[in-house]
Amino acid sequence: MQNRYAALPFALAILAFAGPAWSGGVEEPAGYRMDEYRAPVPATLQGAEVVDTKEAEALWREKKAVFFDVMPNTPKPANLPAGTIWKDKVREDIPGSIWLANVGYGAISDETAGYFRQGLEAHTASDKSRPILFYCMTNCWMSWNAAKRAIEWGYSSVLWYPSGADGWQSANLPLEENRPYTIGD
Amino acid sequence: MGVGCGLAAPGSLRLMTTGSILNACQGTTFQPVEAPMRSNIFRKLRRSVAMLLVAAVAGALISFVGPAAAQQSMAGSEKIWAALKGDVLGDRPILLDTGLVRIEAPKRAQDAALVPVDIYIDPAKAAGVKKVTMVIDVNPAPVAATFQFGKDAGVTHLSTRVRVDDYSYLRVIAETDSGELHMSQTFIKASGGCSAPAVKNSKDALASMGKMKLRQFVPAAEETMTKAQELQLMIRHPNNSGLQRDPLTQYFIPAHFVQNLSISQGERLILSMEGGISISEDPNFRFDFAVHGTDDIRVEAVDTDGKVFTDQWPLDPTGL
Repeated sequence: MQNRYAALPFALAILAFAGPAWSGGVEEPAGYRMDEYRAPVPATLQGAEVVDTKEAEALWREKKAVFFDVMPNTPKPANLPAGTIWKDKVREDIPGSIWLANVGYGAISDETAGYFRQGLEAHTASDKSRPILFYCMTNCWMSWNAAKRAIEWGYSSVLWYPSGADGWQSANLPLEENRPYTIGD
Repeated sequence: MGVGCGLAAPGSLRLMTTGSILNACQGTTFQPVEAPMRSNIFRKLRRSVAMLLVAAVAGALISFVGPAAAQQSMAGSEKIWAALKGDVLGDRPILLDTGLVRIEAPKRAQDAALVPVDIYIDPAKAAGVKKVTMVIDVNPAPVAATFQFGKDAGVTHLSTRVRVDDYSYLRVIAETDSGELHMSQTFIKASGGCSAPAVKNSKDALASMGKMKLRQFVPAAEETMTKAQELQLMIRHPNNSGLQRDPLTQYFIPAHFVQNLSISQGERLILSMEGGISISEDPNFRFDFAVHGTDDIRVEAVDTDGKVFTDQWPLDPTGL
């Protein structure tokens, strides 16, 4: 019987090596993810419902949830030398989404928190039971953090779509150029 | 587990590391019957083949996903460049890969905030190159730096370190005396370089800001005919990109970087640079040059706050 398991360490080694390419093994942290946002994410988020592309598509088609893209965005620094060529990043996301930029960092300034709260309220008619869905990209913790934050703020129907815009696109679903939401929009 | 063991879905493959599912697989798919007629070797062979199959599937998935994403990014980078090049170079034709200029960078960045880049200029044609522009397509300020060379400066190799924000082409465009544009490009997988936090804390960075160090690499006497003298200039400066967040306040740290740099021997310009947000913290430049006489090496740097930093060093004897 010894032979039977002779190849086992070899196989385990391969699997352990291949493992990090998938997200199966990431534990949910107790708090927010504070750095290294582009990395494998957990399969779950306590208090939220995790949806795959198919489920997200159904929600989108039936307009059963408000979609929030939380991809970070860096505003143009105020003090760049005159003549600097600056190109705002073109963000293509799920049509109809509201892009709330920078709300998915582990820690956010009061200003950003205010922007996030306002953005949520404006698109849920201040109804915290309205289903809201968060996404950014595959292997991006920003949506995990943002969804967690919304749960902590009392939103009771939070959905998290970890595959994000690139998962959506690879299922041949449409993307559309978007601009970050600004208060007053 | 409903899927065939040998072709387990990606999600469940990871679970196999626990061993239990692997054993279950062995009990079912890999070892359907204990056939007494079959030799031990044959069974081992079957098992190895099955293991290899698992490995091959895993490998195929990884290598398939990788290039597909990279190709998509390559196309995206090209699209950005197509929209950008007019702003940078005007409406002039660009000659690609003529050998006059060449850029080298790692295929995958170990640290996206510190990506080493080497620019080579064909020594036979270096005298006719007056300007080199370095572009990182996906960076929000894509023009990383523009270098101008002094007359007969003889710079044929220049290396520095840059921030790269995402998968992107790095391009270098050399402009000749006659106005021709020659470009070389290389694709790099990197992410988050522009917003990566500084290595040094801001207090230390400000305390040493503007300090410079020059290393001189003098070729041995017997090499002077084939090897040029090299300089490496290191400037202490946070070179804040304006895209980095203060870890305490969560606000963006204002851009603050070396905007203009000139390196001369005496009154003769070797090279000057107009820099942007993409040059890494503690800017570092290494380059070769043609020595003219025995004058000192002099450096002047001006940052975006208008602070001027100067230093100078006697030239190491060249061995002549």
